[in-house]
Amino acid sequence: MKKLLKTNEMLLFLLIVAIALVFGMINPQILTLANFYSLIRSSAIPAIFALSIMLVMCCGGFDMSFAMIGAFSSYVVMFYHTSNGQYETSIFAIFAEAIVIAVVLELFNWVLIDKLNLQPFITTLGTQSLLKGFLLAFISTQYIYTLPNQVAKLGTTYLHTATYEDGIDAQLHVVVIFVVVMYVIMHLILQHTNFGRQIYAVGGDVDAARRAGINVSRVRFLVFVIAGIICGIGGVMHDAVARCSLPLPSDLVGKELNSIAAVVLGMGSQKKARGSVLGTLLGVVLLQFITGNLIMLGIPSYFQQAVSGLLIFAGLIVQMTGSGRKLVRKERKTREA
Amino acid sequence: MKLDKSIRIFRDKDFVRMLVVTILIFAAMSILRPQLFLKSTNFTSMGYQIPELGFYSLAMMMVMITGGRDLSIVSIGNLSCIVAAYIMHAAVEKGVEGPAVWGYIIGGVIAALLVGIVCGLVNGIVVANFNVPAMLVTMATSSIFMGIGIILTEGKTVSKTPEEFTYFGNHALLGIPYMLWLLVIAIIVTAIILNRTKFGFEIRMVGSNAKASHYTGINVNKVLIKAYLYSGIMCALCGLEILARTDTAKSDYATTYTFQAILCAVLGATNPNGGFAKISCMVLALASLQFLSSGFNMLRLGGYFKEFTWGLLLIVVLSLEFFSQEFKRRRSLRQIAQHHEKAA
Repeated sequence: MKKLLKTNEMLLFLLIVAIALVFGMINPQILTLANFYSLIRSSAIPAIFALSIMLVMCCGGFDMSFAMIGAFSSYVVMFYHTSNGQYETSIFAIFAEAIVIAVVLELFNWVLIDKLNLQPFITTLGTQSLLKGFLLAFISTQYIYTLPNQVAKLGTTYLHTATYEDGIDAQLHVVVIFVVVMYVIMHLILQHTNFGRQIYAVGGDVDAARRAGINVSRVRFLVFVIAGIICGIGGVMHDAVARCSLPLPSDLVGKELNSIAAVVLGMGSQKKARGSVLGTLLGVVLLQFITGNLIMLGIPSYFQQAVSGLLIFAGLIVQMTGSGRKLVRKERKTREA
Repeated sequence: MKLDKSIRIFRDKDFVRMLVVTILIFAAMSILRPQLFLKSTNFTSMGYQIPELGFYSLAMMMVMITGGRDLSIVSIGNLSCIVAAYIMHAAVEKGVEGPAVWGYIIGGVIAALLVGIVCGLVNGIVVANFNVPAMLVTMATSSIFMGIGIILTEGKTVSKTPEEFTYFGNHALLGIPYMLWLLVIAIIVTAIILNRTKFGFEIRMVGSNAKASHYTGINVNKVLIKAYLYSGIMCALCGLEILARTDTAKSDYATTYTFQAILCAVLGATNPNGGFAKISCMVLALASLQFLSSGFNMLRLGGYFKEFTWGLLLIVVLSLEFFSQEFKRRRSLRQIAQHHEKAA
């Protein structure tokens, strides 16, 4: 029990509860079931993408192009089907096509990062720009508002409906099931399989992992493949929830920081910080809860950017210096001893 | 002696390679659109466009030498631009005339520089003293600085500054725009700082190996803070340049410059892992990017095509670097093998 209380996930959870209580005192509407449903709806898509970047960060890499890859794969598939009038395409086909495209694009990243040994951050920034330009210059710039029927149906499937006091409905979106399933699978992979342990080993120290007999290149390959699968699913999910497909969805591309910050918040301040599945989920919920409820607290919308920036900034410093300070203290202790 | 020096610069492989690239791009654009590209008006307009990217690239390069990234450059530039615009706009609003206008202009310039200094210090202090990667810090501060800009302007555009100030953004001295002069001065100062001063030496040492430089007695934190401070000042200068040229300030103006600045710095032989940079290469990279950009406009290829090319260019340049090193490594291995065979 004591150990559980000390974990970073517990800390994050307590933080969310505390903030929720404070917010609830200012505006009781925030603590209603309806608002809870809209929180789930708004954090579902960021949660999917955060999972993909978390996996890449776990193995010591970095990816700035994950949101663009998701948007790219989904838009290309939607554009192909709608411009050919294939509105009856099965949703499984759409998901499969998007996943294939996303995996191919992530493998492009893998070649650059693993085979050519380039700087992950700068390279993936290049991939992002390349994809953005390619999509808009050579494929299409038009917005797609009529999605294939089954995708549109997925976007309007709800599990349950709750009502705000003023009569506005909020629904529990079906996407939440997908998110939960993906998180559970990822948790099992990372914590309970040999492959998952290998990912952490590579992320901790590449050379040590290599000496321990881990095929680093293969681990990274699989990581990028899984990241691609998640991005592909996330892209289609995003379009389904948004009920339209844009080449550059403004809530994905350019907002990578939110996902990365969620991962870092969930990492915790262990000696060697590493991604945690539950922590990432809590990080996403925390960020979405605060930024999403600012308006209900009566804070003008143009404060949002600064407030969310400040939050991320504070979170980063608290989370990451915890580990640094502890390390320094430990070193000092050993030296004195 | 002098001849010897000028020959030495052509022995520098990075410089020669970049020079060839620049000349190739220039030649290609001249052949494709000779009536438009080779006109003097084209060169004047390029002279007005270069400074923005130039200042941002200098800011990015300085931080990249230390092995970090500054993703907040555009936000700092826009924030200082907004602050300066408010102060100078007050002069227009109150109808101030004569020498008093200059008071407002100088006040605006000083305020903008102060904003740059404060933002740079925030970045530098956090990066130096806390155990957070520079990239994440500057990403978060970028969001904060942009947010402050949005709060100040409420998301609107600030415009109308005194004509005395915008004069500098839209006129030329001796055929070269005032702001290009400013950029040239900034480049020369940066080159001197990097190659001739103690700080320049320290910053390169910190970039190549922070731990080793700590043990040699360099105050790593101080060097890092200074680098971010310098970057902040460059961004503030860029904000002033934007204000002088466009007479408007906006919190989300030209956010793509972050990527272009990284591209320009990497093309300019800056090592992404830190430690090395060549100002001469960066100037050539700046020129070649501008040639490409103007050329694409003349070929009627849109902004999206440019973005595609920037991305491709960055990946190709980085990969070429890898392949040339790999080639060198294999050749030396082969030489060693041959040597052993002979000895045997």
